[in-house]
Amino acid sequence: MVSDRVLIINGVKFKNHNISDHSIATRGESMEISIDVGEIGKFVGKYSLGRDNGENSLHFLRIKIPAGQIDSERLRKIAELSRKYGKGYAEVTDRQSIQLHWIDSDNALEIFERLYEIGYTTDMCGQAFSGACMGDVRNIVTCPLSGKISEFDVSELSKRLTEFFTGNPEYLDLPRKFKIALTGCGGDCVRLGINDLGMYGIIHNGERGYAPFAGGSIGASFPGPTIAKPLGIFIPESQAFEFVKAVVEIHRDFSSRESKAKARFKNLVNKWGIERLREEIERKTGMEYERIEISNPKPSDHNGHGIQADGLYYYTLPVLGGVLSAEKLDFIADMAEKHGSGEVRLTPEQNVTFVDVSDVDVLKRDLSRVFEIRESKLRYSSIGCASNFCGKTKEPHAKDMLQKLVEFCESRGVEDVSIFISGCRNACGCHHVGEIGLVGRAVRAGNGVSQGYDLLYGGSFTELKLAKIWKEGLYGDDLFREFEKVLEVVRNGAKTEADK
Amino acid sequence: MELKLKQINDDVFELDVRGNTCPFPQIFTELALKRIESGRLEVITDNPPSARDLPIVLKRRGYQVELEKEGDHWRIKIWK
Ligand code: SF4
Repeated sequence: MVSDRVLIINGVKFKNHNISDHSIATRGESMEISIDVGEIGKFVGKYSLGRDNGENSLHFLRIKIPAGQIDSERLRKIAELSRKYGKGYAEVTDRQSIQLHWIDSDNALEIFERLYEIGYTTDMCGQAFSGACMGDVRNIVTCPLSGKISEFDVSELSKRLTEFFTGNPEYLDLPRKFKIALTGCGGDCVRLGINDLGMYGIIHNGERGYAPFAGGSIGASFPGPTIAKPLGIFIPESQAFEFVKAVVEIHRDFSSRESKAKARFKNLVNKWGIERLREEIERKTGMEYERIEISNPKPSDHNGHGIQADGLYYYTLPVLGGVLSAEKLDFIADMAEKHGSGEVRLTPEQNVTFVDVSDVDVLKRDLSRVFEIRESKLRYSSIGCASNFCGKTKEPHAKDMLQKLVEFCESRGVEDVSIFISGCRNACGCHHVGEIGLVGRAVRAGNGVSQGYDLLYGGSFTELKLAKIWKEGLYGDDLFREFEKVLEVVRNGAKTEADK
Repeated sequence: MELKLKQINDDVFELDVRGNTCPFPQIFTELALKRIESGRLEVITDNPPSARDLPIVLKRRGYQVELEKEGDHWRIKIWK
């Protein structure tokens, strides 16, 4: 007998939940009972909760926003989720996702159902597994002005790839996560160099396509912080999808599964070298790509405002550390509708770009009712990781530190530097490529242990350059004293000194 | 999608949810518990947050729970 049942978990009904009693089969000594998970199956492989361990939050929800493009209706839906399940808090991540915290696993199915209704999925947070397994393709970082300032709209490829990889069982058990970035605005606004695969959109001999960079990742895993290397080939736009797919498959099939520390793609690229990687890709795709010389991508961002190809404007609102709230999400949705097409773009610097704006001044005047608008590099480009939630730091956490250092800079009239802060060597705050970088470490102080930070300087993700250590294990007043010195050095063009 | 609940003997059942991230080990455990009238359910998970959270959640629901580490995974014993 097979019974159609409605399973109710926390008030949410899931239909067609079948428990087939006749499916009891004898297998040796034991019997197997099949339980059809019914509608819940649609969430498996597409949704998960990540592990938090701070601020009394046990789980986060990282909602993938494909190509970072979101409309007002979906913004309001996420605001609703934040209000109902996440204490009204929300963050824009540096992969253009929106992250909520304080998620109770008892509410997970209800939340997934709501995301499913609006076509959104989440990262598969397999990083908690101890082995080299269950890695997924993370939200694909995409030029926030795709399709707005040039005809090369890389977001089409981004969305197609997202659709293809999401929930695809062939790509859910990568040795480790895989990060892709795409840009087509003529510069690097997506940090190509710190992705497993960075696709730099170019026009080559009048044809649109990509110059790929491979094997970047600035986390601590083997062989250490690495900036992606150019593959020295040109991938025509029409072949880019197959190309990216082939690279992800190479990672899946050849990256080490020996241990988590050795399983990132950068380790394979480092072991193989660019030539072998190129050969493997060409073998897989059956193509022979044109060899090209490619210099480092030009620095680019879309901060401030500018004109779109259609004569309308874009405006990027600085959001320090990406920290927002349900109210602010709603307000952004209102403003996007009132002043533009209702759509906004999340940026890899954790800001919010309004597009299709007719009058930037009026938009800014309205925005200033809720946001403190200081359009400095300091506020646009600085990053602080979510160490307060992941539990790897004590106070002052990365975002607290960022707030303090930004205020410190502003009190001295300095607004033209950027600060990248990671709570630990996993480098989610990209400290390795910060003009000024900080990375947390516990330091002995008196009888106890304090939250200290190493101070770095002279990095640049656009020039694909790693920062150098200034001083390690700083905390309290010492940290601010040394920070002030580094600030001077960096502002006086001491990047050259860092290069020595 | 189907879960395989193994009946080891009259009142011991086993559910292997390895490879599943949060919250699915918990959701699948709840489905299996609905299926079992009485006895002991042993859930195998390799997801560290589930090993952390599941015993807490289940105890809150009134179950008796024991957690054992077995190599690279955990066995969560739940009495119903
Ligand atoms: S860098 Fe470390 S502390 Fe910061 S979010 Fe990543 S894992 Fe957590």
